[in-house]
Parts: sequence; C-alpha cells; structure tokens
Amino acid sequence: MQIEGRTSRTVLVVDDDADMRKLLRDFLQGGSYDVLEAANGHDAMVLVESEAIDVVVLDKEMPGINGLDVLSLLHHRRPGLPVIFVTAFGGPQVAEESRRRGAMEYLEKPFRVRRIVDTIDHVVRRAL
Amino acid sequence: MIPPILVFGVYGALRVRNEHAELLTTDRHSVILISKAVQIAVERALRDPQTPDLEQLLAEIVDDQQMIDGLRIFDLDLRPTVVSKSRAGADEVATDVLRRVIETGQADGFSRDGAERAFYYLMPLRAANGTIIGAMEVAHLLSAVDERLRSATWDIVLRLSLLVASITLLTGVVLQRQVLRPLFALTEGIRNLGRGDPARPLPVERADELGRVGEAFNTMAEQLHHARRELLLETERTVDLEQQLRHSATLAVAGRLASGLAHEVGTPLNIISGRAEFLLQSLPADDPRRDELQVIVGQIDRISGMLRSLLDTVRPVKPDIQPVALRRVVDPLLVLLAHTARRHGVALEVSIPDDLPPMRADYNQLQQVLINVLMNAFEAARPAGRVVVSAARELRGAQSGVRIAVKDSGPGIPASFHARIFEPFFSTKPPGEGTGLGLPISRDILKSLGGDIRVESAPGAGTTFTVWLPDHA
Repeated sequence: MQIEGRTSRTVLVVDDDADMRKLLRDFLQGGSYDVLEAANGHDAMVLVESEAIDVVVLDKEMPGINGLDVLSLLHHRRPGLPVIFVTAFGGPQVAEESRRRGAMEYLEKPFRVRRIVDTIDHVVRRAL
Repeated sequence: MIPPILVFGVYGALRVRNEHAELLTTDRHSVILISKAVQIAVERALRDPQTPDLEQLLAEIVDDQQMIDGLRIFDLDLRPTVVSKSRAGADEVATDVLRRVIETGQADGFSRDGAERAFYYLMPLRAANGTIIGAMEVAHLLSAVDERLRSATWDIVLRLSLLVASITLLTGVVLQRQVLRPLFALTEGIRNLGRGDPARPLPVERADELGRVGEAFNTMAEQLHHARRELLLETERTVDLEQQLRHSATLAVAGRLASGLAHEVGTPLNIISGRAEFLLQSLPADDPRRDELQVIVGQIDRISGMLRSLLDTVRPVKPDIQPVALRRVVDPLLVLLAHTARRHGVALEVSIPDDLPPMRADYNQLQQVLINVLMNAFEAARPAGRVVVSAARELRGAQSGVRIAVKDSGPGIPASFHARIFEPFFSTKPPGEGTGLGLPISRDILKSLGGDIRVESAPGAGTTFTVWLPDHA
C-alpha cells in the first residue's frame, strides 16, 4: 500500500521531553524518514488527523492524556497505524497493556537508538 | 510446739503436788502404825518392873526403825523422863499438844517446820488398868520424805521431758515425712513453674489431701505448660504474620519508590546513551574517541541493567483476580488485628454478614488494603477508642458490589486533607512513623481491581474509610 508521490516515510514522535524528540529526529533524519514531533497527546491527535503519518513512536509518561489513553485513541481513529509504544522501565504489565490497546511494538527506555531505528524500519516494511 | 509443752508442764506440776501430798500421807500413816507398835512395847516395858533400861530400849527402837528418828517419854507433869539419845534435847516440847493428849487420852500428831522439818506423833501411855500414866512422843524427820519427793519430782520432770522430746521428735519426723516434704516439693514445683522451667510432675504416692493437692498441681502445671506453648505458638504466628505484612508493605513502598525513580531517570539515560551513539555513528571507524563513547554507552547499559533487575524484585506481581469472600480475607487477619488493637488499647468490632457475594479481587492485595486502612484506624482511635468494621452489598450504577466500612472514633480529619491523604508522601504522622504511601497504594490497588476508596470525616466525629469492590459475577 504505497502512497503516491512519496519516497520517504513520516514518523511522529510523541514525547514530552524535547531532548528525546531531538535525539530520535537526529537519528531518523539521517535515514529516509521525515520526523514530526508532538509534546503531548492532544498535539499528537491533531497531527494524526491532519498529516500523513506512517509510524508513531509514543511515550507512556506524559502530562495531560496518558500515553496508554493516547494509544487507545489512535487505535480508534487509525486502526491500521503502526505504533511503537515506549516507556521507561514499564515492565511486563505495561507491555501487555500496550499490546492489548493496539501497539505493534513495545520498547523500554533506555533503549539503544540503533535498535528503535531498526524497529521502525521493520514496522514500515511490514506495513507496506 | 509451745502449747503441748505448756500442757505437759502444768500436768507435771500437778503430778508433783499430788505426789507430795500422797507421800506425806503415806509417810504419816507408816509413822502412826509403827508408833502404835512402839507404844505397846513401851507400855509393856513400863508395867514390867524388871525392865532394866528403858532408855536402851528406846535407843534400840530408834536404831531399828528407820521411820523413827527420836522417842521421848513424858510423865503426867509433862516432864521428859526418858529420851532416846539421838534426839536428846533436840526439840522443844510441844506442851499444849502433850497436855491435851494426856488429858483426853487421844493420840495426836503435828508437823513442825524449822531447820529440820519433822513430824511428831504423841500418844498416851496407860497402866495395865487403863489409867494414863504419861505420854510418848515419836519424832520423824521429814528430810527422807523431802529426799524422796525431790527424786520423785526429778523422775516426773525427766519422764515428761522425755515424753515431750519424743513427741516433738516423732511429730517432727511425721510432719517432715508426711507434710513438709510434699509441701517442699510443691513449693519447689511452684518456684520452677514461676521461673518458666518446664513443669516436672510431682510424685504423687499418697491418697490423702496432700496427694490430691499434688495431683491438682500436676494437672495445673500441665495445663499451664500447654497454655504457654499455645501462647508462644500464637505469638510466633502473629509475629510471623506481622513480619510478612510489614515485609510486603516495605516491598510495595520500595517498589513504588524504585519504579518512580526508574521512570524519572529512564529518559535522561536514554538521551545520554543515544547522544553517545549518535556521535559514534558520525565518527570514522578509526577515531580514538570512539572508545570513550563506547564506555558511555556501556555504562548506561550497566545502569539500566541494574535498575531493571531491581525493578524485577520489587515490582508487584500481577494481580491474581479471583472470587474472594470477604470473610476469607478478614478471618485470618483477626488474630493479628485483635492483637494489634489490644496493643493500641482499641476495641475492635467486626460484623460481616455471611451472605455477602464474593468480590472480584486479589486476595493478597485486598488484605494489604484492609491492613493499611485498619492500622490507620487503630492509630487514630488510640488510646481508648473503637474501630468498627462492617460490610454490606452496594450497587454502583449498574454494577453490584461489596462495601467495606472501617469506622474509627478518632479525632477526625479536616476537610482540607480529604483529597491530600491519598497523595503519595502526605502523612500527618510524626516523621519516621508513616511512609505516606499506605493510602495511595491502597487506592492504586483498588483502582486496578475496578473498585475505589473514599473517606468521610469531620473533626471530632471520627473517620470512616469506605472500600468498594465489584462482585465477581
């Protein structure tokens, strides 16, 4: 399901920490990804509605709407959109809960950035 | 020991007095009897003009007769005509008695105390035709009687002393064997028991009162021992349970603190190692600075590894949702709770209906919640208050469930604190006593089980915490 006229994929990074967002941006832009950023769940939902987004990297701990609730909303609005759910030391319970709410992948902070890039590549390939 | 000796003493004194009187009487009778014989002999000698020496006859009589210590013969003018040598001029003459004897013809006797105690017996002497021709006086020294009386007294005293001594000894032995020894054994047993030594049964060889006392003691000691063992076991169980609960509470607190910390440091750690990775990517393969960056990435991995294993040990296990009957949670707790309530001086009342439906809950987590709430109630209600635990069915919207209310008679919580008591680290207890996490953890647990916890309180009116959990059905 290739989208016409587009060579690169768009990744939405949802994290309240600006340095974290910049880190992912720096890595992903070096590859063939466009990066959009949202600092909270509300902004993320706005971007998902207005932009053509291929993958979402979503952090759990955020002010306002909790990451898990954002995940549910995303899944409700865009059931096929791949979401990589990220949390700091979440544990098996969060992993399970995130999958239950529709996350495609689950990663625990701190992760190797190399690894999340690989995961994004993998998810995108699978969505094609 | 004193009364028997007194009785024996009085008895001995009476015996001595009787003995004395008896001895005197016997003595006097003997003297009178012998005197009568002597009287006949003397009268015969007086009537016989052939009698050569009356004085010698008297001397012979005195020598022969131990009872007679002196003899005198008086004429009608009351003059001594013949006197036995032994008593010559020894004694005064009792003129009045002598005269009366001669005038009346009746014998008479009297005692005289002096340097020498003596008994005198005076008799008329008659001629063949019966006319009184004089009188005879027999003297009998009482020193012999006194001597015999003394020895008799000694005899009595000695016998009585022996008797008293043997009775004392016998009583002592009997007392020792029959009463004191069993009593000593009993006292020793009681002392051992008091020291907390294992009760050694007393030997019971007797069928009397003391034997029964021994048996009763043995029974009591055994019961006491049994009760003490029960108490020890009970205390151990309580302490075990308390330690377990404290341990799980500590773990819950540690888990919460650790996971809070981990969540906070997870992102910064990620950024540090990510930045190092980014630099690594941009450096040529032979750049010496790559090693430095590898060290950063490696050390961050190490820190995350440590935090992960720490979290694995303290992370609460996944709730085990089961149908849980409230009684099954509360009943085992009652042992501990009753003990803790007593320690706080708080009266605990629990009334849980038997027909409550089972709740949808995790047994251990619900127990932890109830302990948190009850411990708070005990602390609020002490030193002399009441804590009442009650339960009932309650519908929340369409969901039926069970409401558990814990009401204390404590000072109450100001309205401004009602929301804050569920915040982590909010505590009104002195520093070091409360973690400030009991209620937040309880609320989290109940939330994860689909229930909730609420507080109703006013200063002076006590506090009621209400826990609600849905039915399992």
